[in-house]
Amino acid sequence: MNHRDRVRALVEHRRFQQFIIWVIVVNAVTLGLETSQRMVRDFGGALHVADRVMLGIFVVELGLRLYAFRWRFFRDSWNVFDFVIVVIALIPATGPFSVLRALRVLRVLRLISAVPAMRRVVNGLLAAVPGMASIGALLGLIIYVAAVMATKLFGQISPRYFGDLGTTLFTLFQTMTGEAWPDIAREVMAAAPLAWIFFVIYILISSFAVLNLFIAVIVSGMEKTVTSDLVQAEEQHAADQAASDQLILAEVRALRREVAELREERKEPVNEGPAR
Amino acid sequence: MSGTAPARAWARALVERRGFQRLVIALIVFNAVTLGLETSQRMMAEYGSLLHVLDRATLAVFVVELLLRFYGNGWRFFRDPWSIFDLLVIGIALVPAAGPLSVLRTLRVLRVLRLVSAVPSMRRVVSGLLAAVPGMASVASLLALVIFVAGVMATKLFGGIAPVYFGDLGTSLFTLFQIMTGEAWPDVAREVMAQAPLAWIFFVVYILVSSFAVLNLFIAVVVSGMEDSVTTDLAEAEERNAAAQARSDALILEEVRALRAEVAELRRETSRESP
Repeated sequence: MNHRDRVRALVEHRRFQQFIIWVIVVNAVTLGLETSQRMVRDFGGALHVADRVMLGIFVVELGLRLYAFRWRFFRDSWNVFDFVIVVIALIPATGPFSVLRALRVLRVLRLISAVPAMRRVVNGLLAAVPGMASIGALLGLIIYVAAVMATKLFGQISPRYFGDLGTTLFTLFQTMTGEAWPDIAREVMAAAPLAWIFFVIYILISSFAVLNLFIAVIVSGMEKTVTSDLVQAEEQHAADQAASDQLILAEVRALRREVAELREERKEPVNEGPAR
Repeated sequence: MSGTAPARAWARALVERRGFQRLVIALIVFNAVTLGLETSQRMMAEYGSLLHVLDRATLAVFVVELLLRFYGNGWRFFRDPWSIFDLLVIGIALVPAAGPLSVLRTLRVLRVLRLVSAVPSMRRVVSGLLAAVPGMASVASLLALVIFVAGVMATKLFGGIAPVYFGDLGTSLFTLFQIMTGEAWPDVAREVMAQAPLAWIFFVVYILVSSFAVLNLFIAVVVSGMEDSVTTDLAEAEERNAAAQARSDALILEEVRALRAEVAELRRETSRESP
């Protein structure tokens, strides 16, 4: 057992993994406490030290896993996820990178990769994405086309909502979610009374597409349960049928052999007879 | 007549070639971008004429593509609804957009929707969506009926009270569509109820009935979507098993036939002996 195997045994040990989960949970709490100004004033130093120590633990853990698995480490997408999150925490958060400071809290998401049950849930969610992709693309196309039309039609009437393509895309996203769309529609209709045609058609089509996006997700979730059950039952039924067919076939073959033997037996005395 | 046949076949082969279809898809995407840029006044001020030329050029390519497809397929071209869709979308762009038809100018962007007919996976999605429509039709017409009846009632009841929302039938219908989507309906209701306190009856009943109808519309779509996916999966499994079943049935049948032949032989032998 060389070093590498020993390190691998260590990082795959249950105790070690439970320890990491605890560190992640404690880190989540300290990051939460850091948002309170009172806590930062009173215990700022301690919180900062604790944060650094826990980051150190994550770095060591990642280093051990990298050492144990070498390049195979990057084949598992969850490992890449862990790697990226820890690297983000290591980039000095100063100057233009100060937004990364807020991204430090992403470290808490390591709970997903550390707890197998969570991993399964996220994998299940991601499995629904391909089914949504084409309807999502269609929805994007619909919004884009509607946005170009709306910018040309209503750009002059209410530049606040339809001034340029970006603004219009945002407004149409808002309209799609159904929030306060009558305010927008009535403002436009005050100048262009026929604008109701655009709004009603757009709302009907976009909500229909969104509904189908939901259905795609539900169906892909259902497929794995209901359909697979049904298909399994069907498969079982077919297997039973095949077994009984085999039985019938064997029986018929035996019957044929029986008849053939009977024929042979009947033929024999005739053949032995003196004359024909 | 026979002299045009090879040309027709050539045109059909050309429009069905993958490279050609990819070129058309790339052009549609390019056209989508130029149409998007045309909405920016700054871009129009600087590159307006260039954008216009590019737009005309892509439109010309689309017209040539459509003509080739029409030439290649003959009248069969009109049998495919997607071809008619393409024809309409391109036709709109060709109508001179002047005077009262200036709104057609903005409909030019519908050309981008040709992406749906050009990309097979999008086509499938839209066909799937449209497959849900017949199931919705009866519930949708019921919903329209409910809105119309409520619109007539509301115009008569509240037309004098809140002309902004219920001044005439068209306005009422739009307001009722808004109430059905659930957006800002209390604003409308409270304005009316300030003068007609019993108006809550109308609003509550209308909202209950219309949301119930909308819910059923959703359910119709959901059910048809699920049915499709479950049934196709089941049908696939069924088909797979049916083939195996047919094979084993053939074996049994063969065996039974041989048995029957054997028995017939036996009978012939017996009858030859008995007399």
